Amino acid sequence: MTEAQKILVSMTCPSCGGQVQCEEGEDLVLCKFCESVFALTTDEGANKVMYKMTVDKDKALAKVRDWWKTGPKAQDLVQTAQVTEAYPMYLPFWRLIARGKACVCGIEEERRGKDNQKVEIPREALINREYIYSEIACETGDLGIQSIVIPERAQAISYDDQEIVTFGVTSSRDNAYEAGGRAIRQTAVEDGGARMDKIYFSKSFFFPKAFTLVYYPFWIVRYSYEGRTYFATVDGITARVVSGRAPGNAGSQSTAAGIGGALSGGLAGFGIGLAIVTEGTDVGIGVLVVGIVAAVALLGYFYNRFRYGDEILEGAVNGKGLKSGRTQKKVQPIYNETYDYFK
Amino acid sequence: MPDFQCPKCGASLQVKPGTQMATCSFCGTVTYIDRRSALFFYLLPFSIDENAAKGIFKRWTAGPAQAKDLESSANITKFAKEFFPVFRFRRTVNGKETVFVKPAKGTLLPGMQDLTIPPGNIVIYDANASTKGADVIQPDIAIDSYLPELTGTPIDQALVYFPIYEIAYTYKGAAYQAVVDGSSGAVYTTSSPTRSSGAYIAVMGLAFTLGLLGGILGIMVSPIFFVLVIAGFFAGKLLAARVVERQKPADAEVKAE
Repeated sequence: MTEAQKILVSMTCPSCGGQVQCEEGEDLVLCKFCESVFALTTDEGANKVMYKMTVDKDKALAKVRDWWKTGPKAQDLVQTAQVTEAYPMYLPFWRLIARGKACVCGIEEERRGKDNQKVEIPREALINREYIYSEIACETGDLGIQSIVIPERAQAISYDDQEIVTFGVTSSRDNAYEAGGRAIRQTAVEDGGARMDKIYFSKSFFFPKAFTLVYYPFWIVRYSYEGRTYFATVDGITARVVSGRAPGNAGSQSTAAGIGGALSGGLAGFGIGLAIVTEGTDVGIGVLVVGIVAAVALLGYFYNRFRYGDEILEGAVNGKGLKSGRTQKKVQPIYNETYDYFK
Repeated sequence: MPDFQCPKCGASLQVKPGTQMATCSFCGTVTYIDRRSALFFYLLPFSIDENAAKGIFKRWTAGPAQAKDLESSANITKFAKEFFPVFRFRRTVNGKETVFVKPAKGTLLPGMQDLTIPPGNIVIYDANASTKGADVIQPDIAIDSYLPELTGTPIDQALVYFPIYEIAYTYKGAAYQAVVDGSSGAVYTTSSPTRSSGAYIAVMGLAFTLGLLGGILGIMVSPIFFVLVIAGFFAGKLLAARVVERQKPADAEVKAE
């Protein structure tokens, strides 16, 4: 027997010797000849689900072109950008559905009456919700995708190697399961303590319901602008632009610098001037405080748009640039499966 | 990649990456693959071609963190398309599946120390696998040097080749390196010419100062001074445009070799 043959284990029915058929992930097998049932003790496989791509190439490209028009992106992007390639792909995600339960005790602070006295109200929350956790099962690289929400209209198809490129799983299944359980428990505690100002006690549990490996379709679109290569990914079912990179708009950057600087300076100056003119009355100080706070916030917001506006980052893309859009959260509640108790 | 034969009929058996079961395409026999002691060879194909990789590098040089003239002044001195080898061990440690990735080749290339296998379509590396003209870097570290130190019991182990573009470039007389992941397009660098925030802070500082003076004087002396706030906006916008403006390089392409 050669080295290679040693690692193949023949699968025949132990009672009748006939061939048995089994699929990855199954742990019980029925022999079709003698109808005996036996258990497989192999490495545990997770169930695989694949969702059907329903967005075609034209639609994906149209969505990317719409996306080019939004936000402070280069003005001539729609006219000059050239799509260099667009291809579909399946990305793997670990998906854990579990009931998260948490008991959270704390206090809510409220100001009451004329003299604004602080009152502490004891609160108790028992959270009993179903949550879905999903996390990409390979490195994110420069895809900018961490998690997914599977839309209701998504159509599950059987997993097989088809013509569409399917990215391989490189992360550990058990690590993903643990991370998912932790994230669900943490979310349950956060949901319980949402109204509380201080949490004194919390205890959480999770009860797993399903753990699957989901393959979800995306379009990846690469385009060039001024000789540089940028990209965008489009959800293969909802057609939303999930992540991407785009060149920024120099005009918006300089406008941000002007508005941010002058406006925040003006607000701060207005506050200081008023405080001096009113000789330190409550109103003057109040305007000063509000003015300074607003000035700092404006300065920070516009400085970011000015300094990092050369490149727009959509979704969970890494690196320096102006973040835009939202990053998909890893934990999502299932609202119709909620049995909470608040006191 | 070991050659497999169906234990029932002897026909050659196709074993897909990451699966534990293989079905013989001739006799239909399902075979369980015990991967504990075998070393499998996998490859992540390039999904980014040379032009796109150069474009990605150019995009990176134009990013807000990089020196302002890096895009026009960076001079690429080396541009190599390569497959980089790592060992991937899947093992059961304390009842948990754990993945270890170890280098199969000593290197100082940026990003290769993180040892993550980029996202991609993992295929079997055998005589049929196309490397599309890329150099396959041969491992110089044997798998045996890792096996004794790894904890737990093996599930499988593989030598995975992943696609990279190795780029060396010079900027103002200094040499730098960058790696573009040939599968997802991530850019890895250790050190690179960066851009100072000084000019940005100075411009906004000036606009702020004008606005501040306008605000104070407008309240205390005469509303006419509120004009300074508007002046601050225009001064800020004009100067900022100078800071943000890029020199268009004479030839738009980053020179390659």
